[in-house]
Amino acid sequence: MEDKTEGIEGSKGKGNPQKVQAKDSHDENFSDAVEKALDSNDDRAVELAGQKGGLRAALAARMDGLSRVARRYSDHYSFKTEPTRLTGLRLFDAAAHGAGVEMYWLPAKAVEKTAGFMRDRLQPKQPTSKSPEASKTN
Amino acid sequence: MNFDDLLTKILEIAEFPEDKREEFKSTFYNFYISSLIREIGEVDNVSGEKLENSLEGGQENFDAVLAELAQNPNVQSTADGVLEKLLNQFVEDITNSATEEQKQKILAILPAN
Repeated sequence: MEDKTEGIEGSKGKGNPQKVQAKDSHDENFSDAVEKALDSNDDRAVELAGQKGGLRAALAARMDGLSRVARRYSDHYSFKTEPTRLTGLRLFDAAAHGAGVEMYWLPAKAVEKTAGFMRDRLQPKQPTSKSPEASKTN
Repeated sequence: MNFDDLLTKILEIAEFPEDKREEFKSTFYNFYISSLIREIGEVDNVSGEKLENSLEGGQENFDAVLAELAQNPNVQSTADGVLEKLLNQFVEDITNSATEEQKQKILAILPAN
């Protein structure tokens, strides 16, 4: 089958980042579907993994999804030529293999935000005597 | 406590395989950085390129460039959006998959308000 979608040639230095291009409007839906699938962080896969294997499995599935999307972003949206584009990613790879590159990238407010989200969702909500939940259980 | 400490403790509570914990953290941060560069680049090409270039100077340089770029309100709100979405998703995963015991352990390690 003839491939009518134009592939990514790779960054050619400064200028606009390159994206998957459709050669004609007939293939726009196909290109969109490809972009969506490639861009997917697969929430459903994470949910299923969690149901079967608990938090550990859910996080492993999430790691897989994040890794694919991060690579795709770097491949398709980079502004730089090949050798220098990979510098940032090499830093991460080095850290993953314990090469002594200190990794602490999220801003300080990330802790506060995460803690807030967790308290909102992980703490059981106590219905008050006037709440609809309390009246329904009576 | 910084985010790295928090993430490390959560991975311990989740009993995530020890030999994969650094990879998880690296992937998490890599996704954050890649998303920032992409999303900010879509707001403004030049800003996206500056941000990507700053990686070569390490984290301090990256933070400094991001702070400079974030003086543009559009860049700031984009950066905030990327962070919020990632953290929301992470907390959602925990909410959906953790046992009650794990949830209580996680709540116990959170820094005080």
